[in-house]
Amino acid sequence: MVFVLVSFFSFAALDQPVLRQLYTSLALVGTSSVNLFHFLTNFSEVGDRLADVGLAYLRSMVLLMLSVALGSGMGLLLGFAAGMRPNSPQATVASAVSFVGILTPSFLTALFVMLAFVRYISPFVGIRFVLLSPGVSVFDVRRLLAPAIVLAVRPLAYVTQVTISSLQEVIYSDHVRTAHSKGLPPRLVLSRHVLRNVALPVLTSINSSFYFSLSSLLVVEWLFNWSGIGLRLLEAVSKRDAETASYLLVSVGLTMLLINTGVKIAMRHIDPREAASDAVIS
Amino acid sequence: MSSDNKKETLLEVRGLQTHFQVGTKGVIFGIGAVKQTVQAVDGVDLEIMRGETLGLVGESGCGKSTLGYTILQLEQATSGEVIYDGQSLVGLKRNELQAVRRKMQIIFQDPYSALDPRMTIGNAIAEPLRVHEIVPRDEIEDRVEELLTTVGLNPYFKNRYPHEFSGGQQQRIVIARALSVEPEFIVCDEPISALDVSIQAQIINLLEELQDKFGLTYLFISHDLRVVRHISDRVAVMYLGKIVEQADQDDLHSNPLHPYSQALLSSVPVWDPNAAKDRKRIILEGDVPSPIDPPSGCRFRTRCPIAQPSCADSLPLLREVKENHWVACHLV
Repeated sequence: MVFVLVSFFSFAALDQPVLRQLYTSLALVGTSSVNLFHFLTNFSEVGDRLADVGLAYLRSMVLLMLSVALGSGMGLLLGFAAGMRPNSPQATVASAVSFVGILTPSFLTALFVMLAFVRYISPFVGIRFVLLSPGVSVFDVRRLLAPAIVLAVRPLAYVTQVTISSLQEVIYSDHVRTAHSKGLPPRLVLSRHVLRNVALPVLTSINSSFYFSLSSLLVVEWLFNWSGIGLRLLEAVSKRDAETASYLLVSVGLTMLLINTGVKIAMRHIDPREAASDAVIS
Repeated sequence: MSSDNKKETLLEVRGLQTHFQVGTKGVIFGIGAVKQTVQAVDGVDLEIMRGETLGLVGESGCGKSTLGYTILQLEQATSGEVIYDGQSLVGLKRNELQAVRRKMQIIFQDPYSALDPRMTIGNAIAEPLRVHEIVPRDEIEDRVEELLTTVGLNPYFKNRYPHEFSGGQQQRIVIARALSVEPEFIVCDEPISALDVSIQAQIINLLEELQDKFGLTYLFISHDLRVVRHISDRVAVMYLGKIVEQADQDDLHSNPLHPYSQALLSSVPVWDPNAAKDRKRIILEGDVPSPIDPPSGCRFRTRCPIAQPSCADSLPLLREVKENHWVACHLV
């Protein structure tokens, strides 16, 4: 505790004499003013840089959204198949897939996927899926598929696990037994009482999956030469280009903020208890 | 089973068994797992008369709730028969069962878990009315309000969610929901054990009022013997998946014959300290055996204070030792 407090005061320069604090603050204001002046006078250069970052951002978002959609969709299917029949062979397969998916690092998955596409799938279907040329369109499925599969593995594994456990909890809950005892047809029990209650944890798991994919983006983009924010960040760091790096990091931060807000709004609609807890907090 | 021929039998259970397959975890992904059978309910015979309350008592894990679920066909019976109002329920098709479901309802122990957290209580009560088309659509709202009033709640509450109510109010909502289909028979699965003592009395009184008003029949599952004594006409005592004693409540409480019933009743606290001094308490030793591998012969013999070596040889059958008093013990 003492260490934390000392660190904080040192960082904020509150352990320094008042004059020293004043000097530090003025210096900080001066530096910020210089940066603002630089930003305003070199607007076109900054604009070019921002456009470049924007394009990288678009590329990464397309890749991320596709991978999360692919992984979550597959995860939901696998999770439902296993969760509805817990002792079936599909449940064993789903558990194995999610277990391996969570434990395998992205670079290893990327190498396996690359090998599978180059060695087996491409010769079989006659299409080159792993293209290392940066000139190909961002929406070209041939380029997107392999990195998207790699990034989809962890969302698939995580969403599968959460779907299985949530389904198990809801299916055997008393309110679902009550729904059966009311005489509701099984499809209505599933849609009204099971799926709506599973939606909340699954939505949260998809949100977390997005961060899993985001954390693997750097390695995957580098391996597949995908010119998105991950690859651009690596380049910016190697060139000591702090400005581009900060734009890229801010764009990632804003994306996380937007996604979190979106999920929070969706959760309020899915579960009335969320809205109630927000009301209590506010 | 009962020799009281004046009352009409509403529900009859014959040789009912509910077994579950469970498996050990295995080393990984179920490899090396061993499948075992839990004999939750194992050969139960019961009769419940129209308009009566049958109390079902026993220790936790003895199969009381599973028996209730199997009677309502919420769990699949392994073998045996459940005959409701002359109709056998085991093996009925879904659409055939739907008509019977209207007549049989359940009240769970935990009212909060029995209500869908995402559904307003008005919708929860109205849902079975829509499914079974009990009242015309334009009268559903009025019926919901009427049901809420019947259980002592303000009809204004209908647009609220379950988490906005106290435990006692939630249990009233669960009762209103059960009443919505105009049932004849309700399984009350420990309906008061999750509530405060003051609220327990309110719910018990409400159940009794509703029984008088609508002519309901209850299977009242509980481990609280005082409550069972208060509400029940007859009592069945269950141990490790089997009924070991069944009698009129006065008879069972004044003269329990099975050693397990005697031990259970001796554990009920008494208010009068002088009476408590004179009373002989029977403390059972050891844990309840696993329903996966129950003891041979009499299931209670491993904890029975009067067990004999011969108790391990054969299973004691439930037999009528005096009028309306049935016991499953070799030594009685």
